[in-house]
Amino acid sequence: MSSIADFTDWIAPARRRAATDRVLVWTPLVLVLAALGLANSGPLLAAVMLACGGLALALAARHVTRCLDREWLVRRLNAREASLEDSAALVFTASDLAPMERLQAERIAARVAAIDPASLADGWSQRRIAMAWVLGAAALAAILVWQAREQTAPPLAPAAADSAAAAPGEPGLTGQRVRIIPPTYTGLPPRYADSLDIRAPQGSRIEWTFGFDPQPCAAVVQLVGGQAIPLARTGEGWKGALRLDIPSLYRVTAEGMRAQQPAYRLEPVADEPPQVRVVEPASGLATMTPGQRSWRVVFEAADDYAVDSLARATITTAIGEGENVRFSERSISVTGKGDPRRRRFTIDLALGGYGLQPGSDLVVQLTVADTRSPGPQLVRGPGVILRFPPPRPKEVEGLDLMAKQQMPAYFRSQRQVIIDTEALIKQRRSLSADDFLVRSDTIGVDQRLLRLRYGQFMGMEAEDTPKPPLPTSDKDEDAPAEPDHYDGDGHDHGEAPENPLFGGMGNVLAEFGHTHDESEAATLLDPDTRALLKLALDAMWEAEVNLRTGKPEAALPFENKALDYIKRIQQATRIYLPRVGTQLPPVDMARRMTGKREGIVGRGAALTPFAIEDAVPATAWRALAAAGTIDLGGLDRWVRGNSARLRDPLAVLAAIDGLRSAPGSRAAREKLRAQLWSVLTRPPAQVRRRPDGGEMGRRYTGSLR
Amino acid sequence: MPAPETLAAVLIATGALAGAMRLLLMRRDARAAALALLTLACGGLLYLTLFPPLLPVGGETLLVATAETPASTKAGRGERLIALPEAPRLAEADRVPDLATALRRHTRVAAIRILGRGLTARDRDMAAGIPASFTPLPTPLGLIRLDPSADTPAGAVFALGGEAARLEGGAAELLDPSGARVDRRVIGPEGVFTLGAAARAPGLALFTLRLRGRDGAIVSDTPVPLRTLAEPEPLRVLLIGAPSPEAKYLRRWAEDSGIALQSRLEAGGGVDLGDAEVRLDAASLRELDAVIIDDRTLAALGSRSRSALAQAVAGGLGVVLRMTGPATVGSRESWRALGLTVEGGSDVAEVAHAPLAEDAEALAIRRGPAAGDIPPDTNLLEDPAPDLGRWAVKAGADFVPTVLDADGAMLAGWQQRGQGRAGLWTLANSFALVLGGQSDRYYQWWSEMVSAVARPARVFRPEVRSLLIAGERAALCGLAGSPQVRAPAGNEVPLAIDPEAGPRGCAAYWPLHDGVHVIIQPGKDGEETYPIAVLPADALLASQARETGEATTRWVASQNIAVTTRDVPDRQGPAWPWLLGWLTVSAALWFGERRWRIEPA
Repeated sequence: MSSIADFTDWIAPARRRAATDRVLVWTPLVLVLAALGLANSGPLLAAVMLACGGLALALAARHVTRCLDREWLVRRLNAREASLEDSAALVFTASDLAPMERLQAERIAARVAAIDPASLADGWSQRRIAMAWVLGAAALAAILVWQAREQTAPPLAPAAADSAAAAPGEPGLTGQRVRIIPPTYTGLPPRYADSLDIRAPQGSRIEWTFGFDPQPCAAVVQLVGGQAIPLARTGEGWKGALRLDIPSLYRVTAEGMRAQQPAYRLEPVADEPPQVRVVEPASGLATMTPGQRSWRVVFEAADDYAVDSLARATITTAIGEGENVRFSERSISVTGKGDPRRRRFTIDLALGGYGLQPGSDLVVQLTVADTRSPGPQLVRGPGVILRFPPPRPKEVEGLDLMAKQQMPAYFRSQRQVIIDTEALIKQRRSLSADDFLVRSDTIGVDQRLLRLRYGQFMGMEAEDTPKPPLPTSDKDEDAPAEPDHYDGDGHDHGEAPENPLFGGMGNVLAEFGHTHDESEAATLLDPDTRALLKLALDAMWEAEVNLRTGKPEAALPFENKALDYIKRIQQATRIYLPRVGTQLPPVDMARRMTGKREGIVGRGAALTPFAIEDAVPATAWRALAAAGTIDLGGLDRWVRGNSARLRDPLAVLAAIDGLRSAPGSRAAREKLRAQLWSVLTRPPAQVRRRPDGGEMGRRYTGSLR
Repeated sequence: MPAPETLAAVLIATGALAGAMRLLLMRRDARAAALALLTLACGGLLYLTLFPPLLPVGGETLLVATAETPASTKAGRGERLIALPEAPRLAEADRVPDLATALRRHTRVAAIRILGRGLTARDRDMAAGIPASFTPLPTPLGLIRLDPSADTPAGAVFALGGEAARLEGGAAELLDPSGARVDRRVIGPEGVFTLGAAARAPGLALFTLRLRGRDGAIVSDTPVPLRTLAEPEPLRVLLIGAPSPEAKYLRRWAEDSGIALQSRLEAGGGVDLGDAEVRLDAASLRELDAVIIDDRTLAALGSRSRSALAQAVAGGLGVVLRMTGPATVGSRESWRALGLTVEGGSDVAEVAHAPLAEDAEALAIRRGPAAGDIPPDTNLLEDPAPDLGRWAVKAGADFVPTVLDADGAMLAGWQQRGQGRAGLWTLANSFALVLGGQSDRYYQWWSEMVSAVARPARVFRPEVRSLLIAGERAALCGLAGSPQVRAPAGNEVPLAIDPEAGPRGCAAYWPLHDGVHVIIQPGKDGEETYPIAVLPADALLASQARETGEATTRWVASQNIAVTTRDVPDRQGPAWPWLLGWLTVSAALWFGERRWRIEPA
């Protein structure tokens, strides 16, 4: 075998050279990108940049080596060595050769073997490499310089003109610098404030650097009415820091300063909770079109810093109608897109999985959070409803209009009683006997309420605790006994009791109550339904007895029986309900039309006076109009205590502080008085007396006519 | 003895006529007629020679330089330039302390020409007696008129008006004393604007009227004083009617705004839900300042109560008649007894509401800190205004509207009767304002109504121009005894009441510095005080300039009218031209007579 089948040894040096060359050309770019990442957002991005760059280089190198294959070797050998007589291909071919070819191949193979494989490789692309590295070095240097300039603090600004002039020998403020480092979650870069009045996001770190001349022994940042932050001396000046959480005023003092220094504001800007808006659909209630398969809901959440890209959508379905409404709720995670301050959350719901039926609703709500840390602010946005339109009710007329086609909503909770009871029985072991009894009793109460509701259709309201009639006499003591009723006293008393036996349903009302409303409610049901209802009520009664005595197991069969009856009532034809208008309180018949007015006392409804909670500032406002001292401490406490409802409490506090430091100054008094205006509560409009115009005015009006 | 002119005229006329007659009698031809005419002319000329006619004086013109006179002004021929104290430095100008001095010094002046802004009040008091002319300068940029609000009760809304020149498209803003913007209006082509805000605690507060140009730059900041009044004694009001929402919210308002309210709310059947022992007789009505009564209750009152009420109104009581239904002939008749003469009132018209404030922020500032635990997002600006109806009442000229809606329709007003006033409230359901979240407006309207009619009182409230300026004379009226003014620095200046002012009790005061001055007057129980705000001298430059120009124009017009109706100062003209004429005519006469030898035919 004269051919050199294994050509890889021949191309390996060339491949190495080409790959190295490619890597050398592009490495500076990767390094520059990584440096940019480091400068902009830290080592993480730099590492990512490096990794990506490395991967890209490796791929590029691999691509280059792939191009160097057998054909390339043959072309290169033929081109390089004329002595190969353009027959290098014969040497490196893998297939069988014709005899003539083999002869030639052997001849050539010997010549090929004399060639050094390393000499086949391309030369270094020196100019490109040099260019790339020079440019890369320049870019890196630029980034370095830029970073260095970013990080060095600007020199101390000259002290504000309004700081009190220092006497000779007293330390005076000569320079100032305020660096505000907002919390990382805001994504705001640190900055230098222009003045000592600071307004920054809540939770920011405030770093002061002050220069004094001559150097004092100690210096502090004194919060007005609060703590003092000692300043530490460094080479550049006096430094101190504070986390900005509550609004306050501060002043910079150094030991040996005698004059009162001006106060500056520290005002935190609270993080607003995000706001959610529905972009699509346009209205809160959408109707499902026939054949609709999917539904798209788009929310937009806006926040002052950033909205968390992960939000939770709550999808609630209410399927069924009448009594049989089943609610289910599920949550899905949604990823927002777009600007962090204004993210869009798009939810595409495949409606098939929800099993919607006519008349059912699907509600989507989005809960978003902002990025505040600690404690992101969660906001639940508005809900949008997709409604599967219910079938149109049949056209009815005449008496049918009065019939309610659907069961009233409160027929549904017998099932709930059963569910509760079953749950209670399951939990029996984990509950103490008392707790068990209490829970059982609670279900019993539910069962009782339900029974009373159904009882309404049997005219059973009298079994409820009889409500006393409306108070007719305002006199508390010695209320005269109600005059006795007698037949023919002008109003109806219902029928006289016929059957005084216990349980006589029909006359319970007449026996215990004094009802005047029509008993129509009791005759709404046809006899069959009525019998069923009665059975249901009996079963409920039994269940209630057992529940209230703490025997839910015994109650369960009765509950199930009651539910069964109710189901059958549902399937019974119709239930007629009275048309209900205003429910007026019962008229006191004892008094009606009698003309008696004894016992009625005009009480003269007393009004509680309107209390304005601004007595303290109002007093100060009046006191400041004239000369005299005022209670600055009390005012200060009042402003701090009410700062939540004041528009700009810091301005008032600053004015108080200004007056405190210069008690005799008229300008300070006027400034405080002006600031108090914003604090005063506006009273309801009062009245003024008109002047009588003096003697002349009286004469004039007297002679008018 | 007749005047010499008359005597001479008679003698000359007689002589001339006699000569002419003689000629005509001798011959009747053209020559004789010519000579007779010449004789008459000769007589006339002789008279004029003896008594030459008067000629007007030809004097010099006085150029009066006032503020803003161009520095290059120079006196021309026949002119003399004087400079009043407010004029800038002028070469060649004669400095004078006032115009009267200048006129005394320059007696030969025949006319005045005023240069610059115009004459100040000091120089406009006197009449110059000679014609004057004045060309006003163009209106200055900025606030050229400011009508501050009158004294305001606490809690009430006040309004101030103004006019800005050459600021179309800019804005007028009202800043409260703490510097917050409470109202804002864009200035239209006319430049007129009205701004409003709510008064809070009693006392004197300084608001600021800020004008901004079209580009938003601040043009001027003018202090505007607001005096909020405190009533020394609560107003005593009686509310009569049936229990109703209106009565409920009226009681609420009265309770909150410090009114001593009694009520008689008849629930029917002799049940009174108000205060016991409220009677309508002369004695108890004398103890009241105002009565609020609804029309049905008034109609149901007995004749004695009704006449007692009418008597009390004439004696100073205020009555507010609240309409609850359409007016009928009978009800209008019964109102007339109280002093209300109105027509109509049977149709309901809709009330147009003005917005509560310019924007939500201004509304929040106007309302101030919430009283109590009201959530901040109740009663927003966008909330719909309640539907209100008013009974369309037609009133005469004697009827003064107090409450108007946004379209200017009368909602409430009053009419004077004797010392008292009877008011008419034409809104049947004004309580809906409270239910609709506009209780501020409800209180405001009722405050205006009750304030307008309530019994007048003698309170120490001097009449002072609302805008006093440092360095300008101010007239303080309504004073008595020995009043004083306490300046901001604390020094007290006694005031001298001008006896010429009569019962008004006026005194003059020259505030030297701006700031709050206090008028102090010893009263029955201790000192009575009244604060007045004096603005800095440069606070109202533009409006002062405009006022000066307008007043000077009027003054100039009055000078010129006076001149035409008065005798022009003049002097005897020269006699020699007439003598020459007489000699010529006499010579011609002599020559003619000699030549023609006219003799009797």
